[in-house]
Amino acid sequence: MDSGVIQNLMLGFSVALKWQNFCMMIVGSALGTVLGMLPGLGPSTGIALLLPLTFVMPPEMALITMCAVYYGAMFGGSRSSILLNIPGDGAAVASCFDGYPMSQQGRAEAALAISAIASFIGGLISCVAFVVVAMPVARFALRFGPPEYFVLMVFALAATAAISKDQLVKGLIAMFIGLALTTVGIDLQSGVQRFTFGSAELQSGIDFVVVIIGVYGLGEILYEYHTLRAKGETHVQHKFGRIWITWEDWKRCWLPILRQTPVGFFIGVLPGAGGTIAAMMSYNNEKQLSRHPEEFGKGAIEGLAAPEAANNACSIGAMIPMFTLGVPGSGTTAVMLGALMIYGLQPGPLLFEHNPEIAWGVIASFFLGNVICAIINLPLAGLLVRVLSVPPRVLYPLVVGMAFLGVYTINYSASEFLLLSGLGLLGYFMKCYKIPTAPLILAIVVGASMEQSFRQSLLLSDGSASVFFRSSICNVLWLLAVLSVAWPFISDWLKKRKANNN
Amino acid sequence: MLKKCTLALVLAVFLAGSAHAAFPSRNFECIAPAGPGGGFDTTMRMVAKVLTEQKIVSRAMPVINKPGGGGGVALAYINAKKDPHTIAVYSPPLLLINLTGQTELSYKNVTPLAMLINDFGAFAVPKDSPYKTIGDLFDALKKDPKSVKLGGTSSPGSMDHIQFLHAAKAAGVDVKGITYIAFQGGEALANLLGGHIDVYTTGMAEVVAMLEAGDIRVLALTSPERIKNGPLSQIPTLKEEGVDAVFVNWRGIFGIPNMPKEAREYMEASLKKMTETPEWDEICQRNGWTKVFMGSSDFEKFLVKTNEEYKSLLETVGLYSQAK
Amino acid sequence: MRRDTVVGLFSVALGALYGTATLRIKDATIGSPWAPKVFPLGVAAFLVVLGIVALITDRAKARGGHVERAPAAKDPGCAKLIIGTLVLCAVYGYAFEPFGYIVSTLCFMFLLLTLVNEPKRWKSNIIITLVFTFFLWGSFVYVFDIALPSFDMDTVKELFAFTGGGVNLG
Repeated sequence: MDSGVIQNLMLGFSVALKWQNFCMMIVGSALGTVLGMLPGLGPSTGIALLLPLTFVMPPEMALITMCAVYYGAMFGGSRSSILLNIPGDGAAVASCFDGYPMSQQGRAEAALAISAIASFIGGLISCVAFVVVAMPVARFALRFGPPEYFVLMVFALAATAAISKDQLVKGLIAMFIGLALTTVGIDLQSGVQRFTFGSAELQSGIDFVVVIIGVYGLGEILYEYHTLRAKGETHVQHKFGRIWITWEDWKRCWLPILRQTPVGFFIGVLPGAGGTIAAMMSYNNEKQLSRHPEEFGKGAIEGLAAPEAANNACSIGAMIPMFTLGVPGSGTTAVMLGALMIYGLQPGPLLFEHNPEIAWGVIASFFLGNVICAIINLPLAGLLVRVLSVPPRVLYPLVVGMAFLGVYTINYSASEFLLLSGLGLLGYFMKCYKIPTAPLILAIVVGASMEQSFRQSLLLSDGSASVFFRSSICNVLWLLAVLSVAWPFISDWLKKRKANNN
Repeated sequence: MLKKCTLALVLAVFLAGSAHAAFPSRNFECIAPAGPGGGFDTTMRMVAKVLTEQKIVSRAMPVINKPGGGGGVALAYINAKKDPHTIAVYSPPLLLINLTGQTELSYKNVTPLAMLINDFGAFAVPKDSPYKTIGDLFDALKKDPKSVKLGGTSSPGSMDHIQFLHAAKAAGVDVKGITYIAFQGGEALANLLGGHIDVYTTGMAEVVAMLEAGDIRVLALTSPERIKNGPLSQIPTLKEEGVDAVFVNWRGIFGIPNMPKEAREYMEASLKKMTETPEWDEICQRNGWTKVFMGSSDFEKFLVKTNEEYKSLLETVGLYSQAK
Repeated sequence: MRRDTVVGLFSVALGALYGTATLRIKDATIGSPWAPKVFPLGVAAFLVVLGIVALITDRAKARGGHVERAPAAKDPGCAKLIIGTLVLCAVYGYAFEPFGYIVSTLCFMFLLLTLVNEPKRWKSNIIITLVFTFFLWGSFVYVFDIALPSFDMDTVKELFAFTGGGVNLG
């Protein structure tokens, strides 16, 4: 790091530490955490709600508040995943896999603690990375054109569907159901309506948050009805420990956190990819790298730490294309970009020259915001964990009610309520017949852009499929995709051979 | 207490009359036909802000987002409204979503109140592009339409696409063969910077930052005359480059269909007053909008004429279709 | 039926249905007319093929004496709960905009609680319904600044101002 960077950072901290900005950071982080916890309300809603504030605040304060809401929501997003098995947002889905089993085993405190700790470390490392490598990484990310995106998404989907060897076929079925759902709406490349059945609401497609809340949230509740009365009050937790982790837990987690943070960070930098892919990929990676993959999905703490670190790293990474190139990396940063433009500021490389106090002030606020979020989240988790003391017969109706309100805020329309009920039924069916839901969720998130990049690639090459092998990025990603599907079989074979040799 | 209150609430809600005295008799409902953060949303919020803050309108004007169907969802919503206290902002997509068959509703299903803003399109290429002028680009397209990959945000038949076709057609290019690749959000710009597409057709505001940074070149703007300030003042218009074409991204305020005369006149006058405030000037300047004002009846005539223009253009490329 | 037989059949049926619907999509007027159908057709084909694979592997497993069935509900009343919840959700969806948030949510939450939390706890059900509805209404409208549908916002506000509570609703 040269002295220029340090000097700029000092300038940034002097802006971020102004008491007004600092106060708004705390308010933003708290608000974001609360919004993130509610199903359906995520960072983009939070920031959209804050837009009117930009009319009354100076730009750096408004941006700092928005960023605080953004990573606050990333911190808070996994609370309901861990406690209720209901993710509030795509990025929090992977936190259900091991977070919920942990809380069922009475380890909710440790789960909540590691999620905050992992988010904090992931976020902090990414802040440093942002300062050091933002520009070169952003330039590299530009080499991802439509064909590279397509192969990246194939890789992400293949790895997720293959996550459980015994359920490969059912995982793939789930994945294709998800892909089918993403084709609803007006086709971007031709303007043709597909599967809209004359409904204006369906023209813009099915929002993936509706699918997540329907399949995961409502489906989960419907399935839990099976045991609602049988369990009675016995399933309720009454004693709560301290929100912290043991040394044993930490020893299992530190390496996964450190190695999945860069994964999340880089995926964040790619415009269009996002927290869901980052979290899912890091979970897959960790499961394949782990020495005891059989514990994954049954409450392995590193299975929670990895996606949490990755999705927070991703949210910082997503700021890079916005600041350095003026290209929004996600729906959330797109709204922030809009806010910048309202001030007449031009995001892009020149922002650092023309308005260094704003650019560096916001970057410095990333550091402080992460610390604030971690501080807010640990005691808050102590409060939240008490949700587990509410009997399900009361809790479930409340969650259903909140889910509907969350879905209402997506399009400010109740037309999705019917869809939500239908998807709840689908989720229930999938749980009854042991079809994994994770591939469906990832397919929903990436499906639309996957098809679009496929079609864009073919338009670029005038129809030749060779475009998917045009660059070394493509070829490496293809290799990874094949490896990730084959890996469970290879490792089995290796184990067998080892056993035979012995 | 709460129970009683609920009961009273339910009753009051049922009794709420629909009789209107003088306009406006209640709070407005301002519709932005897109999600928060975009052009529609910003325009609607700014209009509502100036109207209420300058006390031109005495009632509250909360902004409600109704995204979906390229504005079609909001259009259906307004069309069904009977209460004239509902207004919305719209731009060329109001006509385009009808002409491409996405909805059977059109500009005839709303009442134009005033046109407020003009914005213009820009055609950008990467900094190392072989095309130095818009003429080079159109020549290449004339030789081989497949040699140039055109990218823009949102689907074919939308504004970005149409503005390029409009210019190309005026330059004598056979527009039917042009490959248009649709992207979402900022992806098109990223793809231009990465050299994956050759030309990016978009709004003026989207190119300013990268133009200043020197990462892209802008070949032409679709405005009738040069932009006065900022880096865009260096960019020629299509007309200067010998292409006789102008494309305006107009934005205006609309009311419910068959809006009562009194309400229509009130809104037109209020909006006129708004455009005369220095606050509005400042907002236009900050957002890079060209301030205009066109009253209700002129705006209506303008829409009829513009609709025909778009229609013939869409027919040429085969995108015209009538919703059933 | 065995569990994976159902999954296989479901996949085949869904693929076939989806594929048929795909064929009925209008031709694109720009570019290749088939372009919008290619991806969905691929998805449909995969669903059918994977369904068949699921059926075959399931049969092979069953021959090996390995039979898995869908889990039976431990509570015989749960069908009532599931159907009841779904019906309530659908009705809520229809009622939400015409009747406004407050009226529809009060009814929805009370009925849902009556269903899930049993009618005998009607007192706590009423309290939970009221607290839920008005707490969320307050936080959405006044903290998050999200407009929720209502019959007539003005009347509601006037009424609230009238019943007092010291809250400034301006």
